[in-house]
Amino acid sequence: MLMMKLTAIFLLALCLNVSAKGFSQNISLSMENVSLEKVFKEIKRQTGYTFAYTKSLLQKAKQVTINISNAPIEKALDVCFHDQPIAYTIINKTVVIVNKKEAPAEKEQVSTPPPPIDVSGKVTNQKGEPLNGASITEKGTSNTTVTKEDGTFTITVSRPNAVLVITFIGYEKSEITVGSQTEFSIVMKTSPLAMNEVVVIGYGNQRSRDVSGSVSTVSTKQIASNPAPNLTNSLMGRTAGIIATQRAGEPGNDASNIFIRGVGTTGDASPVFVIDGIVRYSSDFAQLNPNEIQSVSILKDAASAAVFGVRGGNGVILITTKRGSAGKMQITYNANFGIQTRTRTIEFLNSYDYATLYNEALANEGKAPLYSQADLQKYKDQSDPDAYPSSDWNSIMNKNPMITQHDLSASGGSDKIRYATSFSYLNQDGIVPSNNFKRYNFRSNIDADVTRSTVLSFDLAGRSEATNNIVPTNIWQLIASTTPTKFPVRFSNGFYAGGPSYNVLPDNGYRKKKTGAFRGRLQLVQRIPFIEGLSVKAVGSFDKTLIDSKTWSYPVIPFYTRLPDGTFRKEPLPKSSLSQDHFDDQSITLETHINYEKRFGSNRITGLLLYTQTKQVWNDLNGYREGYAINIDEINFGPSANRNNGGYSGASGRRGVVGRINFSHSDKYTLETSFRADGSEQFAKGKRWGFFPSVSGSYVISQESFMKNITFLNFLKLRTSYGILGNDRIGAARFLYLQSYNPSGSAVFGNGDVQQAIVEGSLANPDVTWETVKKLDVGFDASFFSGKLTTTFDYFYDKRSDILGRRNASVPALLGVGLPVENFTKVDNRGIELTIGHQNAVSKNLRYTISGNVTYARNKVVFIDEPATTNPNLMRTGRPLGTEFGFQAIGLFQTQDEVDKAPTQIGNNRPGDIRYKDVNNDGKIDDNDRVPIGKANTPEIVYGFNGGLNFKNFELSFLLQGATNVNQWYRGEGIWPFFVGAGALKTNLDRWTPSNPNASEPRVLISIDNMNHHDLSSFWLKNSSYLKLRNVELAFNLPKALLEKTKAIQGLRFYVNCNNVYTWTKIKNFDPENGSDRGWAYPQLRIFNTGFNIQF
Amino acid sequence: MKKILYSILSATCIFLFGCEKNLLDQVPKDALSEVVVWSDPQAAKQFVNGIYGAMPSGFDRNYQGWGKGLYLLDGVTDDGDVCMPWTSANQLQSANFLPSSSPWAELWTDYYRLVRQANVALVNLDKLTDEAMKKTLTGETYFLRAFVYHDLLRWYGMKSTGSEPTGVPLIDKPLSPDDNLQIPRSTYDQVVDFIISDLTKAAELLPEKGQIEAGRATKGAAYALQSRVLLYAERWQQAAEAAKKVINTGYSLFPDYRTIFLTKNNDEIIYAKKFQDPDKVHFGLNNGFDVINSPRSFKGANDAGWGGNVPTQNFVESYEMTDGKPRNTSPLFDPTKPFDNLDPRFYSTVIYNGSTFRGHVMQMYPGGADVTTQPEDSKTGYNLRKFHDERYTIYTKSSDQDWVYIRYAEVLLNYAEAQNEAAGPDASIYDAINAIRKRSSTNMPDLPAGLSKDELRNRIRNERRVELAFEEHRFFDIRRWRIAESLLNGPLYGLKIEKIGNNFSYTRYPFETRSFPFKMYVFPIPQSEIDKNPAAKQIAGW
Repeated sequence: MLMMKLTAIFLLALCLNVSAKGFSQNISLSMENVSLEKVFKEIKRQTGYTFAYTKSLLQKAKQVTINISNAPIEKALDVCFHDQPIAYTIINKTVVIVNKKEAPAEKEQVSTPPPPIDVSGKVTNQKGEPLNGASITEKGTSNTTVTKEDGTFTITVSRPNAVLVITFIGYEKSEITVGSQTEFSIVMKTSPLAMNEVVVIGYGNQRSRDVSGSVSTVSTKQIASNPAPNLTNSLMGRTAGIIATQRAGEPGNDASNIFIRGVGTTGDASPVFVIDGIVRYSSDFAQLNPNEIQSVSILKDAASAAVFGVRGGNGVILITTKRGSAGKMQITYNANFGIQTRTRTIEFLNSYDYATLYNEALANEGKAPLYSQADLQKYKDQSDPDAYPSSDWNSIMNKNPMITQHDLSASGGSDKIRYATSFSYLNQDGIVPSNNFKRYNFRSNIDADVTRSTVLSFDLAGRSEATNNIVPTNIWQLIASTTPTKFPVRFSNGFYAGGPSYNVLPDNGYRKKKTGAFRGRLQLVQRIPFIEGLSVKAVGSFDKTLIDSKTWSYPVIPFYTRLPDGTFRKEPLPKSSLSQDHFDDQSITLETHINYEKRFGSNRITGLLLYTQTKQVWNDLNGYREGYAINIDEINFGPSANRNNGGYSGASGRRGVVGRINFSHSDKYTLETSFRADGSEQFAKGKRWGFFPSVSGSYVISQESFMKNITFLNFLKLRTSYGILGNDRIGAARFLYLQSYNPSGSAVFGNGDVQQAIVEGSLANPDVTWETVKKLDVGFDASFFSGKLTTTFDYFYDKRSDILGRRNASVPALLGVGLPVENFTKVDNRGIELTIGHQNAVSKNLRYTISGNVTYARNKVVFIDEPATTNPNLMRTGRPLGTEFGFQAIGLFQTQDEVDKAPTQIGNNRPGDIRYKDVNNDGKIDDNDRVPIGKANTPEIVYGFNGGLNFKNFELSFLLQGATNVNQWYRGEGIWPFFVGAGALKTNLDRWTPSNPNASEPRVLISIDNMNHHDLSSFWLKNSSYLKLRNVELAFNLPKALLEKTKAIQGLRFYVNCNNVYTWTKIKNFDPENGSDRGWAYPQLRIFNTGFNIQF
Repeated sequence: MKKILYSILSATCIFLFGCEKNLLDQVPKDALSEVVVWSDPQAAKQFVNGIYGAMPSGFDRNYQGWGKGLYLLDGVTDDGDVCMPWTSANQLQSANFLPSSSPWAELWTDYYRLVRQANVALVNLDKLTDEAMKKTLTGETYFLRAFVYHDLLRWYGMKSTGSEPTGVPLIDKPLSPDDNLQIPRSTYDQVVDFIISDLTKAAELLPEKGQIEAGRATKGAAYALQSRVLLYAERWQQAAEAAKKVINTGYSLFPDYRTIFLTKNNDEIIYAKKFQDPDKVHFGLNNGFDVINSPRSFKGANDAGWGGNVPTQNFVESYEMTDGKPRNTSPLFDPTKPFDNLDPRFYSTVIYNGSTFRGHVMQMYPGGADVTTQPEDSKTGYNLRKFHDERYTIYTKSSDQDWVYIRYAEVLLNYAEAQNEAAGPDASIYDAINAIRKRSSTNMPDLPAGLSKDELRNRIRNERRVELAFEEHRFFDIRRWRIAESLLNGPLYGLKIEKIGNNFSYTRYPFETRSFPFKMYVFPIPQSEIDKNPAAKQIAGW
């Protein structure tokens, strides 16, 4: 029976193809020639709004025909009251029907605008107390006033049917239509958490009151106040649950790693990014124009992410883009101009200090000095900079590269068609000469009411990115590893000597990468007219990405060797070459949704069932030639010797079925259950389908009568959820269930005949499957003191099993082949999140908000592959992922006597060497003395502190963000002097010498002989906790009075803002977030930006 | 119910969009299946190519990500030093390391990976229907497996007489993770027997040199390797017999000693790993050996030469004068002109002050163009010329010289040494050594007649040291001869050069002190592998 019904529903879906968003205030009506009373009943049923009227009033009214879908109540009422002798006013969820004053004829309206109407009133809270500072705005205009101390206001509106929007912090927004009335008494209802706001969730929207999972949102205003061009850098610190670290700052390639609630797997722990309902690349989010975004939701627990099934295990970041609404076209133009500097500069020693220190190191090794006094003097006085250079390689970089951004957007629409379009342009220079990133973004989102019950949405979006750089990819490595004595930056006659300064010359070639991304989406929503609340939606998306890389190396500037007699030898130019790579990727997603929503008395039920499938295909082709005789960067102009090419392609597919039922009772109890059945081609036939269920509930306990007496508590909602999710992202590895043989490497035979080689791939595991995550979340949302204080708390506990691993640690290498991946690793991850917010209006002119959030996520390895024989100190089981192991450094040896009495250390030690702790007290330092010495490189605790202050026309906002319980190794050129022939750092000067016994670094040495410094020890594992002033913005809004004179301009805002303003950390030389332990990463940038925003 | 829902929904979708029914049945496009590899002789050949291509050699051991293995093993013997201060050479020179951080530790894994590749091939090659192909490929694979075990044995094994096995774990078939992988060492002799048996099979199946592409195993290579393995095992008689099977079978000494390593596929080469720019170059790096082994004073756009491996004074002193006498007894030796009248092989092997290298006369004295006052300067007063292709300025071409594993001169030396130990001095030994000394570019006097067995042994060993210098023989020779302890516990010598007016003064000086405890005669198995396979134990005091 049920089956038959379902079949009928699907057949309907086939015929009609539909949906209805229809949550909260939005309603859908389809009625013909019915009385107003009937319409009112239906509106009441759908929205809970009540109607106040006398029967006599309604008798005057005509019958109406109405056909709207998913529209605000005002729209429905406007239709009903069109051409009626009566009018309506909405006061606090009550629609009051009044007699209409004679409205002027429409023609007259066009020719002469109606006279302005003076409206006055008083705003009070539910207790009848006047509200001071509530703002009254005429909807759709910039006409605004605020209430006085006694709650009264007066405002002059432009037309009789003007709508006044009344807002006050901590209260629900209220709207009234002026109509015939000119005197209002407005009662504001407290709205602790803006409970009727719509939150975007997976495959739908929910009133935040009905959300029983853990979902947080990031305000688009906060995102906009950050001038960082990469959106991933705008989330950190903004909301609880996001752990983000920016590892490098290269323009166009500066995204943060984002983890939701930390890391719970040895595999890929990054979340999925869903833009307008379609799973997309993280770069699609990172490189989005912030002005395109309507909302950002972070789905953190099982209940909210379960609809993403096998891909939801790491959480989901949901982005919806702006859509148009009916009304006059609104145009916004935004311009930004900024300069950038490094957040930290690694400081190297000059030649004199370097050579002196080098001699000291030689002396420490009992060797003769390499640099004579005469050499040192020349390094010091720079009297012969060609032969005795002292090069500051940082000096070859751009000092203050520019960044500019322009955004233009327009939105509006008629009753039938609505649009939101935008275009933006970003141009960012890097600190490496010629390094530049350009980005163009466009979007056009169009909604059309095809029939009364059909809405067609057509979204086109795209972006074009272009990066330009110098040819060498390792310039930071080169700078980190080139001594100041090796080459001069330039010889005194202007010749180049080679080295970093030669390598950054843009004249000798380029490395370009162009990305073209097209994102298209077509959606058809069909409301089913004869089954109330039922709608069907069909979605198709088409994504195409093209990535073209081109590296052209054609040295034209020569470099020279200076001979001892002072003459110069021109060196042969390095080999010219061109390599090009073309990659294209196409992804098509098709979905059918069935949505159902119904109220039964105080019960409300929504349901969702959907089918989704995605097919992706990709293709790569590359070519290479070398030895170009002429400076033309085309493949065809290269000689045919040594030309090379390559390519590959692939395809992937996945399918899923999603269901969700949300039931709420009298806005007090909510129960939701959802599931996803997922089919992933990553696994063997018969092992492809997984089922991921979840259940959640919430209880608004403050609705209970026994809680009403607690006056300071306005709202308290308890939530809990539990569910099972998956993670099938196993790196780039695919087809783990198939034994493969791969082309890899080559061998040469005969007369230079290079033959392909085939090797056995890693062993297959036919039983391989996805990671399974069982997630529990318990939390509450609360609001106190009339909404002035809000708080959200969550405790979460994720138990993850079936994490893919290889038994490398327990299976001897004698096996001789890559081990199969097996689902055996288990990791638990748990923690808490706390958000506390406070907002207040001190006076009419002064308002502020502050909010803090903290996330603590700690994981623990429950099972991991390790040999049974392992020293228990080195066991990873029971410890957090990424725990670092090494010797425990317990200071530096001060005297030979100390050395002699100490347990036998590594190497032949002298005073000034690092002393390691003999953990097992066996009298010698060896592998058995290695112990856990620190935490992983992803912080366990992150926190953010947001503040905002509005004073008259000024706005100030800031974000402090920090991270702790995090370590970072520093090794090699990043901290050790003379490593692999590199130079030394200024910080190396604080080395141990007999006269500097409290040094921060050991005595200097060069060869690894007799050196114990380079062992992994707590000496080099640094605490990379930090607190950053991430963001500050000061803005000035041009006063309304001034703007009104211009007629055209609706808003004008000037601002200055800055990203990465200041950092407090113990890490020296580097930004504490930096990703390279050796100083090879592109430094993070600070942006000082100024701009304006103008609205027409 | 679930199934019904699914089928309805997907049916809907298919109806609407016409989607693929077998969406989830994707197949890899960039890999082959096992069946294809072992039914197509070309694919099987490429599988065997994989073993050749991955075989470690002096030109492509780039270990530990920091280039810590970028040097020839001779750099850590008494013959040489390594100028690059960061390499693991320092650890080997001072013996200052633990099994957990052993230099060259990757070798263990790399060699057993090759063992598996060979075992997989041997199990599957039978499936080929092309008989000729099957025969050759099987022969090649036996040879390659033997070659791998021979290297494993000389690195990790030790000839011994005790009850503890001191060979390496022997695996002769592809294993799966479910098999018992607790595999103890076999005895040294068991491993030798295994290698000899593989090489005997290989010799039966393989064609002669010239009947197969250069770079592939041949009958001659199998016997030549046998002679080396038996020599190391001190089975003198057998070693001499194996060498005899190579002598006078189509191999000959290349007339020019200097260019043996620059002339591809010449008649002296018995088995080599071949390289070809730009597809396969040294260390997989651009530029490769020639850059790594150039003095610091030779510059390119990004960087200068890396210093590389350099000969010591101890080594230079092993060259006889042109009269066939050592320098301390020869009247031809003049300490003020220490580079005159030396065995001509010296000039092909060593760059010294005043010699011409890449068209430049070397100035290796303080103040000279080739002392850069940078750490990579040679401390011995010499640089290495052997293998170096001087035709190209550094950083303009990636090095692709072939690495010669076995050449005819070695077989003659193997024969001489084995025969002397087995039977004492005889004419055939003199013939073998004198043939090397009579190479037209070498042209040294014959060995004096009437040497005793011990005297002859010393001459053979010195001939081996000089002839095969820096070809990664010395590292193993001083171990198997058990003389490393006496050579490498103490200072090594370099040459201090000063320019006084237009003349030079040369002073022998200790540039470095080395250390060689007994355990260094063998390499430790990496600690992590001992942890996983405690059945194989460390030996020699590791």
